[in-house]
Amino acid sequence: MPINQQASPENCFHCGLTVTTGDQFCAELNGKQAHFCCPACKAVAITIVDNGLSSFYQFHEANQQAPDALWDEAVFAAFDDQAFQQRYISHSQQSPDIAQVQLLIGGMHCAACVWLLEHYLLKLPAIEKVSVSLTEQKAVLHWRLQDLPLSEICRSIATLGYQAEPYSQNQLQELRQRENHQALRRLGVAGIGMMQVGMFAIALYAGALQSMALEYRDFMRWVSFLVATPVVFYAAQPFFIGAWRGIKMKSPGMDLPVALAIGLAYLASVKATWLGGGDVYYDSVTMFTFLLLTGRYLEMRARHFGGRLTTDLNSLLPSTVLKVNTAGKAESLPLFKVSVGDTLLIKPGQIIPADGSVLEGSSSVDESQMTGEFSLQSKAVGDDLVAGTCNGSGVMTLLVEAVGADLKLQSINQLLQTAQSTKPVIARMADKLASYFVVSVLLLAVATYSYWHFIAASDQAFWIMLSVLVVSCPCALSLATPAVLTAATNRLRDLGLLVTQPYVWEKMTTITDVVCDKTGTLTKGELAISTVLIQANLSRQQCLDIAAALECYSEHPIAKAFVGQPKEILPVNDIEVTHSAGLQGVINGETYRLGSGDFAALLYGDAAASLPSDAEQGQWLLLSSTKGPVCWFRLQDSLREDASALIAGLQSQQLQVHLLTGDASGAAQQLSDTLSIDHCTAGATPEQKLHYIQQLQANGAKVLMLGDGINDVPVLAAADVSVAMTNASNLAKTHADSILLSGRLMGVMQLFNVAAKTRKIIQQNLAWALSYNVLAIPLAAMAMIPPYLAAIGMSLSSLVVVINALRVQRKALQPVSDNTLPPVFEGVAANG
Amino acid sequence: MIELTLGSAFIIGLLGSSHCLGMCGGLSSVLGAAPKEGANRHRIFSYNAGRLLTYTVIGAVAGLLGEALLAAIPQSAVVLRTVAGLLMIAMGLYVSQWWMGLTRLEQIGAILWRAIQPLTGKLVPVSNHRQAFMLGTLWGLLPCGLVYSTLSWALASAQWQQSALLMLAFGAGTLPAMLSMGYAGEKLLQRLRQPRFRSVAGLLIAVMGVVTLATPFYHSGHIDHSEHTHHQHHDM
Repeated sequence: MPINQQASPENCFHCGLTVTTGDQFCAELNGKQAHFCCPACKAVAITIVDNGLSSFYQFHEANQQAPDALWDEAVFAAFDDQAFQQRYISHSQQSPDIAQVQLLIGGMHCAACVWLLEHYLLKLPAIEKVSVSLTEQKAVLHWRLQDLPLSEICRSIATLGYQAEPYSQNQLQELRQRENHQALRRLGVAGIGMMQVGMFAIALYAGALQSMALEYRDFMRWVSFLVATPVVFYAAQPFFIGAWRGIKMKSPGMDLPVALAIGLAYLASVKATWLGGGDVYYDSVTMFTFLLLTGRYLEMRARHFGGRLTTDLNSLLPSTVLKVNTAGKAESLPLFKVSVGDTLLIKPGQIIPADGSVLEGSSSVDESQMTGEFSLQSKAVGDDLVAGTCNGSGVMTLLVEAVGADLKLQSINQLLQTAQSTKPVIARMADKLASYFVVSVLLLAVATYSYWHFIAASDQAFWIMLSVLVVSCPCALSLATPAVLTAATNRLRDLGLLVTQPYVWEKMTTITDVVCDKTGTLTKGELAISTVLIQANLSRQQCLDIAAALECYSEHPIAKAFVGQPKEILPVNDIEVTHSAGLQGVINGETYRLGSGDFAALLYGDAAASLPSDAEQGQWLLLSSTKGPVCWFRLQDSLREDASALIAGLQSQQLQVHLLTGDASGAAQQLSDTLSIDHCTAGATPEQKLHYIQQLQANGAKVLMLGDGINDVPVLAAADVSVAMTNASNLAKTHADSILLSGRLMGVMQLFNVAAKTRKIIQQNLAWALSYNVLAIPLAAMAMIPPYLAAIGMSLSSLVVVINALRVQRKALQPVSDNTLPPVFEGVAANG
Repeated sequence: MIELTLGSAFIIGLLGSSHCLGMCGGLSSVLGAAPKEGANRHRIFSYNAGRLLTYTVIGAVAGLLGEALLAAIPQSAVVLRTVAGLLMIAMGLYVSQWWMGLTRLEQIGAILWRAIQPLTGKLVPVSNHRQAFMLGTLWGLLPCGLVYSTLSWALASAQWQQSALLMLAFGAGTLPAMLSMGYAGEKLLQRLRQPRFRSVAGLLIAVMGVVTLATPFYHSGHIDHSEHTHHQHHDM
């Protein structure tokens, strides 16, 4: 309905309805020609205007927007606004023309809606991928933005009868509140109706026994009719809408049998009431509605509870920030106006509003939002800050490096979305089963009625058919898997572990071998130079400068040890990186190599380099030139606190643990011995690592690879499941099935535990859903389930599934209890 | 006549009031009783009391006319009933905006309204309950297809008490919507005016019209206990 009704000739000037009678009723009001739908409107309008109250129409107009107008053109157009899109739409790194958006979908209430939306949206041109989550009431779309504007998508969703708007936590809250209120209202109407009609029904049954006078019986029936009518048309509305939607899309969902049962029982009753004969079923109509709505309401509450953990940046981040302007003064600015390169002032206790690095000042930051790790991280000049984390007690200025959809926390969400966008095989099978299911139930209902009516000649045939329609619950079947997976993903996200691939859940339970990388994985990867042994005629600083210049081309954790060491930045030419060996480059006309002793020694012609004899054991790097060795650096790394607990935990689960590292020094073997790792392979090149994994797999092992996710990409990819230990800054470069952001190795144990639990609960859910339907439907067809029990059974069966799924999310789920583990290995392990 | 009961009249009023909402939509502002204006909103009761009084009176008048007609020509009962049924169907189509035939009837009524309209001038803008009540009695005579159709029922039932009550029940059916204007949020009112709702309401009214037409034939072979039901509802 256009907002300006007075200007458009097709709407009645007075009441705003569409004028379908042409120019029949016109009048001149205040010098303007006005159209009316009927003489009455015309008469009223003339009366009002003649009495000098034409201002009434100005007041009137503002209130004339129908609820549909909430979703009118202006709103949809806003979806295409540039600033709006910057906030909500992100572009994938692999193919920049594919845009991704999260939409909040209102009006979804069961797995059939999910199916419907996914299939409908995939039929639209330009849409690449769609995944709809019922628990989060969210749809994630990947599509070609230039071919199809966002407004167009939202409009198509609206024509399906759902509301779509870009996702934000506030809007989700609002939507949930709205749905909650509406559900309670419907439930109230159904409940009161059920009680009233129930009382009349008792009177009617009693009357039937004592041969009640017809006029009293009819009176009772009429009153029941009056009470049941709003229950059917208002309270039971969602079932009818759902059923109609399903028919329209030629994919009948679980609403269809229910709507049929309610509709048929109501019509049969109205007919009996009107004609004064036959049976009335008002009591069952209201009872069905009430019980099914109760089930749905409880299920909705459970879903709302389950979906609350998603991180939503738009509600997390402050709406205004303090920007340091060119004059050095801080001024307040709305967040969406901040752009890359701005300098922001971060006060104590403030949420960091954008990704960037510390420009001035220092503080400690709570990054639990990001990593699940609650201890404060100290930040100094140059350190990375991540939007959404919380500043401690210091004051800092932040140089903005990313805003909007490019934020790191956003890419975490995106990774999680991808994981949830592909359904595991088992869920796809359940979905398929559920869609055949409804048709079978309808056929079965017809068969049941035919049998009881024609062959058994029972007057109960109608009842029995109603039971069959109501008792079946395909919903439990399609909910069984996705509900559990969402809960499990949320649970791990809470612990700082991102699961990015859906097959992780299926494969985790088959793992037999765990292969760990060393540096940055079992150790902290924070290497420091502990000893410098100079072999040539150079100062210590000169050696460090050359090494640092070379290492700035490496992404290996070793490189970090050299950051901050050089006095001057030397230019490097012809840089060459050799995996797990070292680097080579030309500085000031001299060729240098930095890396393992053997690699560096080759430059000056020696096959092997020898350490000075007085040197202690550890991880040594050699810097060499074409003339000979230049300098030895000894690097030291510390073991992660829980590395020992992890290895012990894995072994207690009968898993073979392998240490596979490129480090050729004795440190690897030493570490392996300390941690009593089953197999140790040191000094492996990436090719050898890959071969090692493939060899294991060829022998029938299922391998979980734990690495840093950046240097081990091909190895990680070869493993059945890969877990990367990484921090947020490297997230974009990380390729792994799951990512451990917390830096706590025990997260891997959690992954094993949650995966096992997830699998168990999925099996339980599917078993429950299948056996419920397989048992209940034949029993109902055999007239052994009265309709009220059928309604209770159906409501309970989907409720059981959702509540069971939520068990995964419970905090009580602890990994291995501590007393089964040896005391946590402490102290610095062998070097590296 | 099983279906010409007070209950049905009430339901017709209820279903038809989606139309009334548009008609009398911003009326509360004319009454100075917009929800914001607090105490004045009670004027809506006086206004509706006046309107219902008018309906009751014209119902009684129609009933008397019906009685007189029936006394003179007993066969006219069938004709009156058929007209009532047809008008009811027309009303259904009118409420759902599928066929606006009733507007012809309204045009005839509009002639009458022209005589009444000047009287409203003295009452608007309303400043007290008496004026609101008076405005209600006049506004009840608006050329309204709904009122006319229900009036044809009153005519067909041909008993002045029953006819008056029928019209009162019809008016009472419109009350929930009309009274809510001063109180309920605009949202609810707008929802009632959605095309979908109007279609359903119109359809139901039309079905009642069809039944009105069909019932005499249907019941011809049955024991007619409609009189009992009839009196039953009197007692309500």
